Amino acid sequence: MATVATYFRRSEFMAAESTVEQIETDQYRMRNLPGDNIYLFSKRIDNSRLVREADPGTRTDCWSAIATVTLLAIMLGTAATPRIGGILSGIQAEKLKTDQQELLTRRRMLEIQEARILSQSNLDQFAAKRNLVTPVPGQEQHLQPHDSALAMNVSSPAGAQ
Amino acid sequence: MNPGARLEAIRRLTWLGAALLVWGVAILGELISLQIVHHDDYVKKARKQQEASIELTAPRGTIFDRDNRPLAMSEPVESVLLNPRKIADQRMAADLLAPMLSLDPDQLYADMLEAAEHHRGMVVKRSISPDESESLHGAHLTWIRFEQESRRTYPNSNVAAHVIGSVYKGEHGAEGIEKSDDDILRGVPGKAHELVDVQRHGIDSWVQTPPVPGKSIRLSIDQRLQFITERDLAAQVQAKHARTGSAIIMNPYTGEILAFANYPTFDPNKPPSNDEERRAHFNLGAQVPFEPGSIFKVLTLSAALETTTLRPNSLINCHNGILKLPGRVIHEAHGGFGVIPMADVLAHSSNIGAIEIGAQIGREKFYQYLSNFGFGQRTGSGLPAESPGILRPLNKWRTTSLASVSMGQEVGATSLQLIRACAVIANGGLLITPRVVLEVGGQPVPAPPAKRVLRPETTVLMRQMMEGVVLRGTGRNVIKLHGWSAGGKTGTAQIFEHGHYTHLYNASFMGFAPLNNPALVAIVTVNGTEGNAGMGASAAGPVWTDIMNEALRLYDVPKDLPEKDVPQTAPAKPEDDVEVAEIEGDPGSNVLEDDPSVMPKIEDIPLAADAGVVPDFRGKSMRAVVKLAYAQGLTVAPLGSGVARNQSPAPGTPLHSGGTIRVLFTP
Repeated sequence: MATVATYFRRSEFMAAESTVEQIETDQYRMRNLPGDNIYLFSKRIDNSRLVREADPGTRTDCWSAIATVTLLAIMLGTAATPRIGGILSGIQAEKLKTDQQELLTRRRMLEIQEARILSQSNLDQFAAKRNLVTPVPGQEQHLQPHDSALAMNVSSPAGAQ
Repeated sequence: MNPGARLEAIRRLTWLGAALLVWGVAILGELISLQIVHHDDYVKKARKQQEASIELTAPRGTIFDRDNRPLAMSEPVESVLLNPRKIADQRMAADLLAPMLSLDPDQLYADMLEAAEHHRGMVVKRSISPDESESLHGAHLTWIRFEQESRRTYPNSNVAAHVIGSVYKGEHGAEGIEKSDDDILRGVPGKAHELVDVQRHGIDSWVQTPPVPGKSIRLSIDQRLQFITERDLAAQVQAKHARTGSAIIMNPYTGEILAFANYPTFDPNKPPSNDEERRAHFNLGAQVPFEPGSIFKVLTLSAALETTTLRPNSLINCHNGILKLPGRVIHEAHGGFGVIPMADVLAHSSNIGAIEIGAQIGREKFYQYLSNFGFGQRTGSGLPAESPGILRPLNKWRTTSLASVSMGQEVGATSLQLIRACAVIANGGLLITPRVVLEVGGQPVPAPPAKRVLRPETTVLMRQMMEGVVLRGTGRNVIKLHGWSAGGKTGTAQIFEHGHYTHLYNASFMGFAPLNNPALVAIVTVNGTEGNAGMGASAAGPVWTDIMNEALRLYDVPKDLPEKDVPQTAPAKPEDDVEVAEIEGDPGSNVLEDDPSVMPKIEDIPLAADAGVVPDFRGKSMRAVVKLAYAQGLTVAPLGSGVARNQSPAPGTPLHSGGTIRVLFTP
């Protein structure tokens, strides 16, 4: 029986065979292990010219497996897509709802701001700053003044102040 | 296989089968437990993890003026809450949060420690500003929670504050229309469920109960006219160093109140913090009756025209200014008159003349007419806490009561009651109901039917006589409208205080314009004037003139007089006002002391600290109590365990800020 040890120490053992007589005379030498004289050799086998016989059934099986897996993937996708789509749409819808609420809030605050700006006390202060006065009876004010209207663009004598 | 090995195999297989059976039974048992026995519990737990319950706020209805300009609106705001026990480093959290909310970090940290000690959440800040909200949302702090709330805002500050009223915590109406129509304005919040992912982001939501927003209300108040009226009234009260004032402008046919001003006024955006500010919340024109004085002579003469043969030119003996009554002597101010026509009694406001006319009417008929005019009863304007005024029952009238009532004493009336009486004369004899609410939720509110109390011909005569007051009587130098004729009556009533009549006056003027087809009626009262410059014509007349000029111009009322420059007249001479009677003798108990319930109570005006009431925790579990307290930002001191049996302070008592509610739990 060949062992790894004998394989790597082959030359050493071959040299020892020639002196077998000497060995036999050496009464203190250990006896050989069983199969110690058998050696392993590697042999290169060239099977490049070997051709496997064509099997029409294998191709069919392969395509069948591919089709099955594809079908399963499509079915799984078909089943899962609406669910995933629904979740994504839901997330988007909730975000839009939040945005809508925020816009409503902003509009409300703008309305309040507008009401504050247009409050009578604010307008009164604004008018005072601009030296605007309450029209007196008989006073005419032309929105588009022109030369001929200059005389009318003041308080009438009845309402003059 | 030998028999021994076979038996060993069978034995081993039996054990394996038994083990598999036990395992299967255990699995089945667990499945039954999960799916059947504890199904509801696990569904609840799952829902708690996967679903979030959202309260859908129902905004309080907006209050508009008659031209749909907003007077009161609700704006959405956020409050910040947190649970300190879920925060690893509370010191760091306080230092991070405090600058963003303009709070004291040490105080916030102390509050967090206290809340953590009591195992409760806490409200960090209520109604945060938009800037604060934006910065907090931007910080993405996962350990804080936002709660949507609504805050009432009055964009015009104090304009029509007494009519609109105000709200306090929870947007509950406290005064004015906010209180009287609270049920209409307040919405009903809804509820929605939201499906959330592990990050608590919304995936889906569905409404369980839709919110019902509060209905909007359109008032009859004209914001422009209201502002002008308040401005002019405040200026006059300050100029006369008076105490208070009120002014009302009304459509005499529909009863629509166009302006209702009181001084002092208040900003409904800020709750009162002391008694003085609380008093400013009284709607004086509707809640505080006063002795009307000479303007009441309009009622006396109207009743006389209806019930006696007296006519405007009938001669009345005014006894040269002195009239002796049982126990009392009446002195006409500034000398008095002899025998003058009834029209001049009104024009010059002769008290003795009014007493003589009243005597011809008689107690029963006069009382009946005053009742018909609505004195002693609420007008039904819809304003809360309206006073019915005081009209003593006939059996409580004393010997001289007829004389007193004839000249406007021993009777208490509000400005609202008086302007209604004036509207009767202006509209041809119909007693209308003053009203401030025109529309609710876009639907018009029908006006209550009018009741005839005077014949049309009587009102024509009264209008002519009231024109005499303006043309040649006590109001002749003051009441000058720019192109409109007018009629009215001055009134100067001494104020009864501390058991006697003082030298302080209730100066009033009520009237209408134009004369023949009155478009508007108005009354102005300035309370607490002094001296000759504090008489009805000189104190209330100028305000009446100014606000009526503006009102007639704003409403494009056709002018019935040629336009001419109105000279700047000097104030009425003191000797022109004769309407204050000097009374000798015991005045007795004043009518205003008869029934304190007709006066408003300061306790009805909640302070800023009284922002709410203590909720009722009784019958609730400790968890529910803590949850409720957490939601309202209250501090609860629980005692014992089990169900809440008693609490201090009691439910419904005003809640003071910083107070702790002790709740006793028993099994």
